[in-house]
Parts: sequence; structure tokens; C-alpha cells
Amino acid sequence: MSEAAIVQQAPKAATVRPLVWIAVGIGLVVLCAAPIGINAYWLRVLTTVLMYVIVTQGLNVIVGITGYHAFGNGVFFGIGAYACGAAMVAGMPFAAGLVLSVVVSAACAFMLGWPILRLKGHYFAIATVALNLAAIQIIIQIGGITGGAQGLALPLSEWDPKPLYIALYYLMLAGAVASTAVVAILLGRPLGFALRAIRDSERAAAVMGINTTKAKVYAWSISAGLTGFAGGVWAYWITFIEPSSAFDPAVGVKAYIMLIIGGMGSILGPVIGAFALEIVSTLVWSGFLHAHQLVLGVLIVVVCLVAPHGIIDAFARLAKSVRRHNGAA
Amino acid sequence: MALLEGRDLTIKFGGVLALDGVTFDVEAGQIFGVIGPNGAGKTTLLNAISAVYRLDRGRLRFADADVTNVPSHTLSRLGVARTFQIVQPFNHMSVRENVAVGAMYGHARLRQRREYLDAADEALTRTGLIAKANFMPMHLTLSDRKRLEVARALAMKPRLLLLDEVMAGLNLTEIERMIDLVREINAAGMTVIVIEHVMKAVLALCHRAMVLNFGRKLTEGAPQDVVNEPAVVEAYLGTRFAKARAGSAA
Repeated sequence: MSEAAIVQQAPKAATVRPLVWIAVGIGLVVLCAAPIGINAYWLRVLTTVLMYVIVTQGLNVIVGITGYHAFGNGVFFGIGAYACGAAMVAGMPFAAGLVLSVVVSAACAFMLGWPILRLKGHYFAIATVALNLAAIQIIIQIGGITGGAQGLALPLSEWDPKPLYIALYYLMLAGAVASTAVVAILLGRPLGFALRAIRDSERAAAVMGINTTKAKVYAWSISAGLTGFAGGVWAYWITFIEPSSAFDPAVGVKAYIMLIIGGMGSILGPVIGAFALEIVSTLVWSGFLHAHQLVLGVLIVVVCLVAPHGIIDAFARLAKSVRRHNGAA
Repeated sequence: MALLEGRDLTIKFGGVLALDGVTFDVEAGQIFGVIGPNGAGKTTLLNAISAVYRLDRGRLRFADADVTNVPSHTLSRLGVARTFQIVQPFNHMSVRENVAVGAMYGHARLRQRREYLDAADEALTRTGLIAKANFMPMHLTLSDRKRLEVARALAMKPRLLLLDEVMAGLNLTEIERMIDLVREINAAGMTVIVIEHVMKAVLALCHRAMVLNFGRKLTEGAPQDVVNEPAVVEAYLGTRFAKARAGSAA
């Protein structure tokens, strides 16, 4: 019976779930109210954090839930940025540009997924990195509406900077909430079950009637759509994009670290990971101007050693052991 | 009309004929046994039927449709379910979720949450795992993990169930329970193909048995007759034993 008590999840979920909802509610209220009380610098930091929440949730869909390690997922950030940028340079409104960011990124993943998602393990990971690097060259070679190597200047907004940046903050916040909701909904749907099944045993999943290639392509398209949205907002936010900044492989790598820190395959892990890494790295940067990369690197290694399955998992284990101690006392 | 027809099934691994022109029919409602010594090609045959391996030659028909080299998921949707000899649970999903995947996909294709969870619980009840529905697979005993394989397959609501050595590694009591389970499943109208080393289980369960050796079909018939055929005894125990036995019988 004691074994059953440890293994069974239902009672734990019942006691923890309300607390999680309360925490999420408080967090959302704070984030909604934040632009009133913070200066432009912290508004920028928080907007970046929320952008990374979206990118990390996108990564979560393909890496955390499906188990396909897309190291180069940042390519869809760049595709989203350029789709929005090119659309706006061509005279379309920002909203239309954003829709295109999502649609074009998802469509690219859909088409590239059929061949590339047949690769497994490291081969898939390397193929996505190659994709990311190839995209830089492609944009430079296309030229024309993408601006090529010179980069692309987006039309400036007629709004004053302050309300514009607050509006973009709320747009990123909406994107972060939406992408988290997408992951939560996905996990409850048959497609989510299929993807988790693929992660654990692709052969068993196929034999149980799951069209694994199709499911993986859907997952990558969702992942790319979310990432592309973040790229689109980012492009309008910084107003000038160039191939090396939009397709910076560091975007995908950073999101990957956030995913590891937060916890792969969980709903709130990417949110926690993005906040933890971005805010800590900002604080480290302001505190250790000369050695911030070194300090940050050490911190990441420590987290990976102490909590290899992410912060959420580490807290769950901690809570469990505390409860067991209390139960024994 | 046979539910499953295999004609001249052949699979090569490099220069080795793992399966060499095997032909058989499985009638609807049967429990069909496949036996043979280690390396005879039993699991290869099962992988061929469940489309895990591609056939190099031969044809496969299921329920009057040609299913030669269709993808695994298509075959599963048509109503073929299987278990794995080396169990392949989804380790990060609870036992109930593991089985629910079968109900969502497979032949059942239930898309409403209530429906697939109910179907999962029904399969768990039939296999005696319902009390462990919230366990994670890694906390199950081997016997329970084999039952989980069967439960997942049952939740798919298949017309043909392929059982790959579900008795292997179980103790005598557990084998008895598994035999009862397979018998109940078959009594409910499901056709079953059993691949098994445990001869006791084959004799107790199967209506018909086919013997494989070195990828070839040796013989086929009622299980009691098949295991007494000299060629089968020879395949299992060697030429000298078979000769000695023939001599002492004469």
C-alpha cells in the first residue's frame, strides 16, 4: 500500500492543482499590471522574457512532448521575422504581417517536416541546425524584398515609443499565454497522446495505429507557428532585421537551455525556465559586467547537475520528500 | 474465408533468409499458434504480419483486403493489434494513459475523452490491471507489464490480436492467469495468433499450430499432433534424440 501511495498521482494532483492555478493567476495579474510600475529598461527585459516563453513553448512541442531535438528551431523565429518584415515593407499592416509570420513558419515546417522528420536522434538535431544556417544564406541570396545582406528596415509605427513598447509587451504577453494554452490543450488531445507515445516508443506508437510521420509534422508545424509569431513581433519591435540577427542560432539554443531548466514536456516548465534564465542572466550581466557569460555558464551547469529534469520536477520531488518526512513524524 | 492469409512470405536480412516462403491461413475465431526453436523466425513472422518489417516477397491479405507492405498504422486501423516480446510501454505515461492511446487510435478510434478513458478502463479491468491504472509502467512487475501490452492491444478493439511471447518470463501461476485471459479474449470472438515457447500454453490454447524452423514452415495441424511429428521433435531436440525415440517406439 505504501508503494501505491508513492506511485499514485491522482491525490497529489488534486492537492497541488489549486495552488498552481492560484500562482498562475497571481503571476498573470502581476504581468498585466507590470507596465505601470516599471521603467523602460525592465519593460524591455520583461518583453524579452515573454518572447522567450513563446519560443520555448514552441520548442517544448517538438522537443519536450515529441522527443525530437530540434536544436535549430530558431530558424522559424527568423522565418517569422522576415515574413512579417517583408509583408510590412510591401505595404501590409502589422496584423497581416503577424498572421503571415505564423502561417509561413508553420507551412515551412510542414513542407520540411515530411523529409526531415524521418531522421532520428542526432541526425534530426543536426539537420535542423543545418536548416538554420542555410536560411541565412538563402535570405542573403534572395535579396529583393528581404533586403538580402543589407538587412530589412520595417516601416516605423505612428505611435509614440512608450505606448508602442507597452502595446508590444502586451502582445508578447498574449502570445506567451496563448502558446502555453496551446501546449496545455495539445497535451489533453489525442494528438498530444500520440506525440508523447512517439517520444517514448515510436515503433509501439506506429503499431498502435498512430501515423507517426503525420503526427510529427503536425507537431513541428505547431512549434514553428508559435516560434514564428515571436519572430514577427520581435521584427516590429526592433524595426531593423538582418539575416545574422533574425536567424541567430543562439535563439534556439537559449530556448533549449530554458526548456531544460524549466522541465521538458510540462506545461509551465518553459514559462519558469524562460523567466529564470532571462532574469538571472540580466542580473548577472548588471552585477558582473566583465565575467557575466562565465557566471551564467556556471549557473546553468549547476542547475543541470542539481535538477536534471528541470525546476518543476525538482520542486515536485522536494515537496514529496518533505511530505514523506511530515507523514513519518 | 480466412481472416488472415499469408502467401509465400519471405524476408531477407542481408544473405540470411529469416523467413522463407511461409504460407498459412488463419480462420476467424481461431487461436493460431506459431512455434519453433530459437531463431526459427517466429518473431520475424509476427513483424512481417504487423508491417514492422517489409516483405521481400509474398502477399498478405487481411479481411479480404490486400495488406502487403501497408504502413503499420494503416494495418492497425484495419484491425490488427500486437504485443511486443520485449515490452515497449510508454514510460512517461500512466498505465491508464498507455491503454487510452490504444483506444484513441487502432481500430477503435475513439476521440471523446469520456469514451477513450472508459474503453481504457474496460481493457484494464479485463486484464486485471484496473487497480494499478494510475501507476507508471516502470513500477509494474514484468507480469503486469506483459498484461499492459495485452491491455493496450485490447483497447484498440482489433479483429486480430498477435501475442508475441506473452508467457515468457512469467511463473506458473502467472502463466495460468495469462492462459485464462487469452481464452476469455478469444471466447469474446477475437481471432488470436500466439507466438510461444511455453509448450503447455500452446497445447492448452491453440486450435491450430504451425511449426517454423530456419525460416521455413515445417508443418501445421492440431497442436497435439504437431508436437509429436518426428520432424518437429528433431527440430527441437536434434537428430539423435529423434532417432532414439523412433527406435524405442518401434
